[in-house]
Amino acid sequence: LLLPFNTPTVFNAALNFRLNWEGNVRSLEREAEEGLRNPAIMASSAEQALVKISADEVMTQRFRVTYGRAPDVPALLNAIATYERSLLTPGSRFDRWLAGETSAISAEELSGYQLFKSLGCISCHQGVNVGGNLFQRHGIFRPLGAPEPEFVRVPSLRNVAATAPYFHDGSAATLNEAVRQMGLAQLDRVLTDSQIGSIVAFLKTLTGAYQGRSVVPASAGPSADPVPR
Amino acid sequence: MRLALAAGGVLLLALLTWLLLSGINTNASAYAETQRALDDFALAEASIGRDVLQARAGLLGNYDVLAEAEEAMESAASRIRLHVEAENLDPKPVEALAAAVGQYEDLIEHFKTGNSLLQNSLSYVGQLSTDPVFGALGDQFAQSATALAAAVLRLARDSSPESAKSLQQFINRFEARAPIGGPEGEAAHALLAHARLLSDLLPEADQTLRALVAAPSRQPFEETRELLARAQAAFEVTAQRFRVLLYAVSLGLLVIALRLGHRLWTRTLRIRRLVDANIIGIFIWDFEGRILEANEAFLHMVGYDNKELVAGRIRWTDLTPPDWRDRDTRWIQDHKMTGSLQPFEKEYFRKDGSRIPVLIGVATFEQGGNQGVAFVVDLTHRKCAEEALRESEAKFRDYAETASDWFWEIGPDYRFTLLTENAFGSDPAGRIGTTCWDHALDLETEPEKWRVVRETLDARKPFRDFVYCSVGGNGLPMYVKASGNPVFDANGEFRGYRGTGSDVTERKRADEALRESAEALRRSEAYLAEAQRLSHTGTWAFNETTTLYWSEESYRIWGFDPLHGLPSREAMWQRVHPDDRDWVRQEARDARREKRDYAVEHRILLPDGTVRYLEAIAHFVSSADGELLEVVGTHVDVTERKRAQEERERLRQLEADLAHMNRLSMMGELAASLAHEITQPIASARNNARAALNFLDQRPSDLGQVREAIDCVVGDSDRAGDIIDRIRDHIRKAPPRKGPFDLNAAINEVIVLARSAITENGILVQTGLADGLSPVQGDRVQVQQVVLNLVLNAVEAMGLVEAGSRELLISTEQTKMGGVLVAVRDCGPGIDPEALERIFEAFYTTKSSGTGMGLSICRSIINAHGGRLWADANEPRGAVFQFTLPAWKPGRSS
Repeated sequence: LLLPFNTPTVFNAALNFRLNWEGNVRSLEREAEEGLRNPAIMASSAEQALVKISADEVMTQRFRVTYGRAPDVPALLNAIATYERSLLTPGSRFDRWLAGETSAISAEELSGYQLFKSLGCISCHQGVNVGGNLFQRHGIFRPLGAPEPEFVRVPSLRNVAATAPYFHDGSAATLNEAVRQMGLAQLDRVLTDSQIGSIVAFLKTLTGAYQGRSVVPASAGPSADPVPR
Repeated sequence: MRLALAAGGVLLLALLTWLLLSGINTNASAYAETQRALDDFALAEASIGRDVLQARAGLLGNYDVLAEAEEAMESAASRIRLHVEAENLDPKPVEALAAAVGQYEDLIEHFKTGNSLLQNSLSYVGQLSTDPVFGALGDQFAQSATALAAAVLRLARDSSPESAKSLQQFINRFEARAPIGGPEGEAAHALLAHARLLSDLLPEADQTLRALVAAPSRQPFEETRELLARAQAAFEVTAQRFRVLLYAVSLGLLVIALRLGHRLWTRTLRIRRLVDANIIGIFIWDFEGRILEANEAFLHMVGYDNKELVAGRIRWTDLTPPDWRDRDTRWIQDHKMTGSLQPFEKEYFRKDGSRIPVLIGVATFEQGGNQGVAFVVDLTHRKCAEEALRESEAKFRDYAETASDWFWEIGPDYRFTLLTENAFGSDPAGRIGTTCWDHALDLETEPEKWRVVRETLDARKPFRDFVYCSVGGNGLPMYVKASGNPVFDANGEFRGYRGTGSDVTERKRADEALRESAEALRRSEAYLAEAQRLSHTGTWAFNETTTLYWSEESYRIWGFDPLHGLPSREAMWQRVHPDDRDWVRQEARDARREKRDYAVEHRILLPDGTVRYLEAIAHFVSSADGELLEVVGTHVDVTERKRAQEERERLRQLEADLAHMNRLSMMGELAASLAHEITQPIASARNNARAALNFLDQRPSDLGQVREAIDCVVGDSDRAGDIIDRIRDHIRKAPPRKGPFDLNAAINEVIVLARSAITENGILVQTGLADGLSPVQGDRVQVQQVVLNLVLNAVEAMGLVEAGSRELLISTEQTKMGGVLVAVRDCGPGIDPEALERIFEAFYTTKSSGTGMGLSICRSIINAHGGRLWADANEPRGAVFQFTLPAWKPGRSS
């Protein structure tokens, strides 16, 4: 069983106004329930998970302490969603620059940001999650990956440097390639390598940290680097 | 009582609490919450309106605010929905609201998607139209790029179809001149791409914007708000109502409390008045023997004054004589054990040392308390009255015991409560507690009498001399005469009856014997009259001068009116029929002279012309010396019997006439063939006579032959004579005879009579006559008539079927019963089964020429002979008529 789309990161998922590429799920609770149920993901159900949790005395006790009752499906889903809501990665260099720390990003990165704005990327990738707050048609001027779905929930660009591959079908393996394709498909612009490099430099400033550790690609293993200051 | 009071109190408290709670509009906080949700909704809607406009103008930094507002709106809508569901209100508006929210969100998403592209393209158009590369292509081209940008801006401001059309023209114009390749071609291509995108996006985005600003949720929102406001108003009204109710109930309780208080107060006043009225003595005491308070009446009884008693010098224990102290100790113990006490009698010492009998009732103020109140009644007067009553009772008892009548009393349930010793002879004790009808023997035989008695008792009326049959103390029936009066107590309440009873058995027996003999006499007279009436027999008795007796039936027979007294002898003679009078008189005289009874049958003629036939018998009673004492006679009215006889005779004659007519008609029918039957032997006789003459003329005459021929002549003429005899028999009108005869011979004769008629019709006759048939009894001619009728009917019936199969079978046989069965079978068309019985009815005929009497007469003839005639279907076809005749029994008939 294969999932139809490139799996989005769970980091900052709570900041997206809709979930998944199709944006067909509105809450983390529903998403958790769906994830348990989906034959391609957990192939189980919230009820079955509940049976297993209820068999665990320690877990049952924790539910009692937290929810004041024995574990049940709403409590279970709420627990998962609550945990996911904690998976935020603030404090990226760009965040710090926005907060007034002018030295947080380099001149090249800043010019990348200007280019990001002037090219019109910002028309869709905006807001607290740099995307994730509207639906957009893809392939406006030229095709972009698989034609379905016609509209996608605009992905967040936070931690984008750490979440390759790209696009709903995962057709772009590198960030440079993704930026180049976006320029062609959505803006009808052929971007130069230096423009792409500049934009990618800016995008790298969007990588944040979780519990004091920088977000790194899943393939890279846990990051030992302290948050760069 | 206390429990009920407590329960009542709790109920009341619950009622008040309920009213209070219902009076507080508990819904108010929930309503406020909903109002907040409504406000949030409106706020979100307003902020969305504002934000989309800003976004369209390119002034909105990001779409997060829109997402937040959407979420707020959704949450508000779901809060409203929860409230509506909780309140069980009409779900329609809130459902419409949810649908509108969905619609709204779709619009927002649509707008966001379009607007982000639109803003991007707008900035591109602005940027590209002024791109310096176009300048290199000449002013004209640069101008057309600017003009295109201007058209785009115009459409951005006013997305009307005209503007869109104009933009399209500019796009076309620019495209026509656009260079291809190179940086300038690239820029021109981009400008065109964005301008085209905008020409699509702008009108669409503005349309979405208009829909958004028009707020599709407005109407359902207003409706929901209206619904909630109405529900709240209804809640408020209900709460208001409960508050009013609470007020009313409180007011009612106040009124009740006031009334109860007032009643308590008046009761206290009344008790105070009772104490002060000094009707009975009242004092308040304690178990230590003290008198704490006493009213005037009590003080007066015991002859002390208030100070002496209340000061505590005199104690109620001291007032009690020593022989009553035990009684006091006892009641104190009883009271402690049971908590209550019946009033009792005792005595107190007066101050002067004399005793006063009192009735005292005591009660403690509270359960287990030390103090109490005593109510004291002076019994002095009552004691005197009781003495007097005892004396009067003794007198009554003496009287009752010496009287022969007895006294009784019954309670309201009519059961004996008292019977004096002599009641019902002896031993009346066993009847106490029973009713008098428990022992009555005539309850079932004389229900009416008892019903009247019960009515009298139930009406509480006195009764006198009611006699009924009871069982005496000795176990034998006893007639009892009872009288009684109802007893009512002082309140007018019915308490029963009391009265006297006495044994009237002897007198009753004498009465009964007398009545029984009178009754027996009356009954025997009634039987006689009934017997006379039934048998139409009258009796009478005369002496020399007067009529002594004339029975009821005699009056009826002779037509005399009993009211006119006994009829005279002469009046009786006058009613004897004039034709009979003389000879009857003569017969009576002769009988009298000869001193014998006489029996005559004569007629009487009544004044209305009625003639009656009487059989009269008279008997002369003479004294020892031969003097006539009286004549006793009976006369039986035989008129009806006579009439019936005449009627029967007439009927018999009629039948005989009919039978004769039938015979005549048959003979008429047979006349032609009979003539042949007669002429044939005559012709034969003539031939034989001629033959005889010829034999005589021979020389020498053959006398042997002559004799033979003449014998034949004799035989022939006998045959003709026989036939004529038979015909005469049938034609003659003769009274029926009854005698034994041979049926086979009779049938053969009939066949002879009918032979010509049979052969003329081509019918084959067969006979099956049984040998040694026993003779039958009856009229030979009539039986032959029956057979002839049946034969002729058969012949006629077979005339209708084809020749060759016409067969007639006449048979006889002995029946098991000893009689004879005759059957006449034909092969005619048969008889309709439904008509089998009707054919025997008079005037029924299937023949065109018949009288319809034949078979009817046959059946009456056979019936008169004691036999039976019936018809059946013959096998394989035709009809069979059969009849039976009983065998002759010598000596049975004359």
